[in-house]
Amino acid sequence: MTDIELYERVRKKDKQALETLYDRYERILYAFVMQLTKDRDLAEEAMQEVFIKLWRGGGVYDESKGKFKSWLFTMSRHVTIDLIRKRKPDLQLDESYAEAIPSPSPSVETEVEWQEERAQIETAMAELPVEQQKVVRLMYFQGLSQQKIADACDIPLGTVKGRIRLALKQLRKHLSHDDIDKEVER
Amino acid sequence: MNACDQLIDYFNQHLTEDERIRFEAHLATCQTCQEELEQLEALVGGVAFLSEPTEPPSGMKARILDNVFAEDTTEPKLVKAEPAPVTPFTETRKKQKSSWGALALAAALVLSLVGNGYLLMNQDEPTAITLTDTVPLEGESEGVAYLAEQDGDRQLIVQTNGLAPLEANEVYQVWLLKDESPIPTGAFVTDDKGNGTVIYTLDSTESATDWDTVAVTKEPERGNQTPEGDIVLSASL
Repeated sequence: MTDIELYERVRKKDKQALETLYDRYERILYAFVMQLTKDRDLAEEAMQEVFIKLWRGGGVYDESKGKFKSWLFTMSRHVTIDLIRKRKPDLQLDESYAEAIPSPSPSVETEVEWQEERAQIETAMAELPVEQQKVVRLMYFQGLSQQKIADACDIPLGTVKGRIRLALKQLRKHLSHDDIDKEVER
Repeated sequence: MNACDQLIDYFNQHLTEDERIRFEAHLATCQTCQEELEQLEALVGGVAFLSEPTEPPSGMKARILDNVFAEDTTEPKLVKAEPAPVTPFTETRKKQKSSWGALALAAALVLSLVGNGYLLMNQDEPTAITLTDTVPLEGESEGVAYLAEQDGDRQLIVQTNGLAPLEANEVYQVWLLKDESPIPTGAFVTDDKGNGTVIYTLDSTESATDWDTVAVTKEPERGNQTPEGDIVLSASL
């Protein structure tokens, strides 16, 4: 069953469908919210908020919003940043983290379908100049303000958006069509 | 700063509630920002896979699903929601949509209420207003509905931004609905930016009712007991 079919069933209060969606996304979503929060309790709280939202129908997905996966991750990211701001308003920028190139941790078994996705984005990232990689990480994982991104990269405020735009354009070029929304491909 | 320059801060949730409302109004009319936001969002699903794999804690699935499915009867255990008094209205908190920036909203509300001379209207010593729920309104423009308590009275406060201008006798009318049956809860007219505010104090019967929807319609005249106009803003409670 596709994600969208599952989502439609969740909308009709099908518990089994929510559980299937949960199983499908638990690991990658948890890894993602951990990356944002760096705090297991907060990450679990964020996960719960995400699935409560799905269950209650807060934040509605439709196909005009692009791929379900992108919508789910965007919504999850929003929920998580919201929680971080409430619980840890002074979460500091971790420069070393922003610079780090992640490598799969051998102790954790990565699901097969992720490996492909991961390899794809890693390859795409590796093609970017280092300063663009950095801006992408600061932007997506640190959720920094434009000013803080400018400070961290030591570039003028007005340059941040252009650099992000450039990085996204490069990434899109390297990602498979399946991985990005039709709207973007146009 | 040009409105388009706030896109990153909007995406990363750094705008105040006020700035956000204004930016969303801009976004609605700016195709460049719409496209850039789409692109930012579309790649979230890709970059997420850069996350360091992390084993989920044991038992998390059961905890989360239990809490999710229990939401119709109890407050989710893990969500450390601010304690609220047990009243019919606070039950709506459970159905509350994500209202990030609640603090900013509260601050904006207090400022705005002071601005509207609300505290002055209470001739006695002004007492604290406690917000019990904050619900973003959706529809033709931006708005927020607040449920509040002051001196034991329950109040519905609606603030709007960017509503279309009114004709001569027209008003914007706020309604509370239960099972699609509305009661009028105050009318307002807007300023030149479509901003409007209405504060309505519920009586004891109204306070005890578990309202499911708040809506704003444009009415041809003040004082309608049932809506004639179309809904311009609404939200589930």
